[in-house]
Amino acid sequence: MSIEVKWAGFDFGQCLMDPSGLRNYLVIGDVCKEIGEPERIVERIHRYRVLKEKYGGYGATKEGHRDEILKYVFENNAEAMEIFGVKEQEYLKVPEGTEEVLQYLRDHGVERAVVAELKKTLGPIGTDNVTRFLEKNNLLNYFDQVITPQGCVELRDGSVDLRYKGKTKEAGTLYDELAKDLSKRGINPTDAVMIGDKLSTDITPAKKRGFYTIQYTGYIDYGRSEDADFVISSFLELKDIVRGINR
Amino acid sequence: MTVPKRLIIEFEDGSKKAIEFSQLARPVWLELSRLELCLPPPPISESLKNYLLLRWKNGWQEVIGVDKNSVDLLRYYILERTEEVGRIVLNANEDYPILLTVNRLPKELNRLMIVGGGNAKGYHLDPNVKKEEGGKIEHVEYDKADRYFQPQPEGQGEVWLTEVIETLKNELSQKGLSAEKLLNEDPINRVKEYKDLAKAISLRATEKQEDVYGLIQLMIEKMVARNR
Repeated sequence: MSIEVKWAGFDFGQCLMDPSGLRNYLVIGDVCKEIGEPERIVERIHRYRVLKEKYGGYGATKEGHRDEILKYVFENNAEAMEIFGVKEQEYLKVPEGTEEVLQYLRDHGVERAVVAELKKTLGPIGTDNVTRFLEKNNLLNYFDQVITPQGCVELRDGSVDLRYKGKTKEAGTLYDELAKDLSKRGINPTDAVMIGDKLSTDITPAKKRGFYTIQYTGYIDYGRSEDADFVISSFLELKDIVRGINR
Repeated sequence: MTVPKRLIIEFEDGSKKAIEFSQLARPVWLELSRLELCLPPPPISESLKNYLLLRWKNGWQEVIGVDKNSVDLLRYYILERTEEVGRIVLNANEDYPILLTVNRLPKELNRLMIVGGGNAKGYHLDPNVKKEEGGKIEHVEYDKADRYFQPQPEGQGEVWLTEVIETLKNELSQKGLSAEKLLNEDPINRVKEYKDLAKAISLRATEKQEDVYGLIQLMIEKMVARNR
């Protein structure tokens, strides 16, 4: 079975961005080696793990508590923190087949956007985690927009639509805004598909608003839900599922 | 030997600094006792504020001290993951080989050089044999002890080392320094320069920063010797 759509939204964390190459002994290890303090790798990894336990995950720690990483892990060494920012990007990977699938969707006339729960304020393209990752991995040109609770970035000109500000995927308000936005371009939610891993943010709220949903389990499998129309473990499977509506 | 009281450090200019032994971290005290400078630290006479008593299914028990007033279990989980660890085994013509560990992307390591007083030795590391044993897999990339293994010639070492020395030489000239001048600097200034040079030529220590400085010094000495 396949679906015909005009628009496809991709979740970012653990979906378009595969963090399986991110390991503490690589990131923290490289930082310590770069600043000439390899003797402190073990201690700093331990401190970083303590922060992870405090905030419930590395993602939450990195997104919301970078000041504490600087203070608690790197003892206010700004150079170390700067290198940390570079290194954590360096070890992030793009799942196999991503570029091929994005090219396929483009060829089939399907608009493409990243739909991410970015918590930090948006700056110019290439300064936030999402666009920096896309830029580094030569994926920026495959997307038209990056939609986040901080605003929707038009990648063609860098303009930011602040109507999305404060709206989230989990509450579904971001999808409400997205549905309104798409309808102005003649795209109904039933002409659109959301691809993501997390049921509570990517699948259920999108499905409730009429979007097609595809659960990606290539990095994390959160279990089954009737709200997911399809389940894929590789982006390459999208080529069998998604067709452009006018093709 | 009686119980040590203070650790006194005497400097070249005759000045001294002292610290009470009781303020030293236990590993430091233990290390000093291993050097036979003092008795080991006394076993803890007073109890800590809390202890964890861990008990396994087969009855095995272990204790971990936690010196905090109030402790409550927040989380316990098991992390299971396949780790790749590189092992470098060096023959040093002694009873036992030297075993070193590579944790950083071991499969991507493709070149190893041994640099010392004589000619540098260079080794190519390429996937060669895959050995599976139970749940363990060994990807052997170099094994001189294997009679079927055909190593590439080791003569590359000097070429590779020359490449590194040339980069170092360029950095020195950009800083307006000569190898001879640098070797005559006092140790503190020399280490500052070595730190900058290490950064410039992308040399990082795996475990000890002094290893990087030692290698830079060795290469600078080689530069001086080649200039003669």
